[in-house]
Amino acid sequence: MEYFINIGILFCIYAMLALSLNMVVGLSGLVSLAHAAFYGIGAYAVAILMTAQGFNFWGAMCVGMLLNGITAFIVGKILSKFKGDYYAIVSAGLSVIVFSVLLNFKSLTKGPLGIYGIGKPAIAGFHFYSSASFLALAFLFVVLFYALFVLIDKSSFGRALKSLREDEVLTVSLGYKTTKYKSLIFTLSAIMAGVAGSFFASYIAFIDPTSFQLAEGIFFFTMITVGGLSSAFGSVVGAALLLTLPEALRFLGLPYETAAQLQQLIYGALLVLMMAFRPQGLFGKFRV
Amino acid sequence: MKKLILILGCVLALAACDNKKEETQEKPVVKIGAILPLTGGGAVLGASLKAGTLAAIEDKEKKNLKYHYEAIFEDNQQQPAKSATAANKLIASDKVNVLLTFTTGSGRVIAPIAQNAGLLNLVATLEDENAEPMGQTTFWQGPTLQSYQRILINALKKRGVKKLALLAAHVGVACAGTEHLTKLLAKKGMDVQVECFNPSDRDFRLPIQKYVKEGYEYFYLQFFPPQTDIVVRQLYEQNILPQHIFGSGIDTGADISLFENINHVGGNSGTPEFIDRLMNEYHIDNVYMAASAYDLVSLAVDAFENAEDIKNIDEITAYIKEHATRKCLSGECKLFPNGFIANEAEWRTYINGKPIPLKE
Repeated sequence: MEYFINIGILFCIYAMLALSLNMVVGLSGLVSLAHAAFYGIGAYAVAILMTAQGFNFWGAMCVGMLLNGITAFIVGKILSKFKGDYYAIVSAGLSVIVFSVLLNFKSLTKGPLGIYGIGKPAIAGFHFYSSASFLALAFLFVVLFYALFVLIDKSSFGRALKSLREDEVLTVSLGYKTTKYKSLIFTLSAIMAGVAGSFFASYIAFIDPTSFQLAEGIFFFTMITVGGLSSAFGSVVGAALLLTLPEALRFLGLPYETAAQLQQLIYGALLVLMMAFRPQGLFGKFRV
Repeated sequence: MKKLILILGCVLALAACDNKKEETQEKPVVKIGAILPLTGGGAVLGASLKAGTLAAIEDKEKKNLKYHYEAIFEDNQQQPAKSATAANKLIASDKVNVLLTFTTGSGRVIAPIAQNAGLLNLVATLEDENAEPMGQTTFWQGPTLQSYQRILINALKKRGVKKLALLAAHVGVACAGTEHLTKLLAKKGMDVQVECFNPSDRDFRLPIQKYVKEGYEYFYLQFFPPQTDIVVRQLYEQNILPQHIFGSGIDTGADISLFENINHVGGNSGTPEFIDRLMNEYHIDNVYMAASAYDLVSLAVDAFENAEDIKNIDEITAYIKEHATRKCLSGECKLFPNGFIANEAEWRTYINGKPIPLKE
């Protein structure tokens, strides 16, 4: 049971990331690869503030969200001048910068040695030490993020985002300030990724820069592409699928000499098949 | 869509099938769950630790034991975060009695999981002997950072090295340990230049050329694969002789033939017979930390054999605390109060593909 609870917690963290990333990529059509950076900033804010400064989880998480908000607002302003592939490249650049800072700013982040002993959240004296209670808390945030996604999707703000996704020139001609919209959704998405990072740091209790590389950002992008762009449900399904599939492969009973290598081959082949048969993702409403 | 659901369904159904072999053993089974880097750049190290684990079980099973011992291997792709799900799977599904992993990062991720489950957690790693404990049920074994540095400084002093370019990777203690090492070398009158590289860096030619131009004849390397092999190849390209290359972690490289005559400090690799056995029976070229894995698994087996109740973690850890300081395959092992079992580091080289200790 403990195993499934732990898978559940990771699912919640990935679902938060997928929902937040799908707001930028799915609703707005902006191919962002910067998500690993915001995930990392959120995680490190909690790790540093809780272990070195005596903050509680919530205070540290709020600082992480604020930090992400400021970073994303500034970067978002720069990014909003780019489109398509260029947007993806510049956003990937941010991921590389943040990873390098986490790796090299040793006095603050402890570099490759990582930070350990990160605490769990508490509310009114109740500590979320048990995996089940931590899962319940993380799930609550997934529900909140899901509701926020649906709310934005159906709002005039969401319609404006989808309009700029379909035709930015037309949207501008209708009087919408598209740079403002792009910057806003990018900032909101980064703040949400920071929350996911906070939960990850607290759950795993040890973080190092390897969890926040550009490759992670591409993995998050794969989750929403498989699940379906512009779909809240697709985001959650994508996160669940990409998390459970490699776990399920552990149970295939492959010979142990080659099990690890075969698992990765099968996983890759399944992703290829999935994209070949269903390029728009399982519940996608839009294709990049 | 239907085809896709069918394919995914097949995979999940296959996974759901009971793959567990029928227990033919009469003896109760003690399962050792090993979480190692079995794919990616660190796979060569994972293979070495796997061989050490299997060799220890094989040797112990030759005796008349109370239990049958079985190892189950899971891949963590050398990422500490991936170790958590692997550990939870091993605990919940395979019902392992012991966890074994590699690197301090993975050890620290698994330590609280093992402690909550009341399981022994063993970690093969190079560490600072004063590092913070990982938890009440975690023991880690490897050479100490301090012994590495002591051996290295003595060896460099004997060779009359005056100018040294220290190249390291930003991985684990490789680069993090250079600061202290540089101070120690400077105290001995050595001019040391340090440069740390990101794990994704592959081209070291320009920095090598720069140091050669500045009169640095000797190079000291602290890398992990695949960087170890790459940097050594690029040093050879610049006509640097193996006798002018030193390192720690050289023995983590994948192509051992590259490291002939390079002097390096490393964890004790065990006896020549043990090395031969790993290379011939387990078909591995690299024996990095295999002896540490062997020692840890052997100690765990002894603890289980001597326990009245193998589920009683206090009894198991008490045995380990009492017996960890001993003569190990990897030299004299000494238990520190933080749970670190230090073994001996050694200064050695490779001759005909085998690690040969050097008497300094």
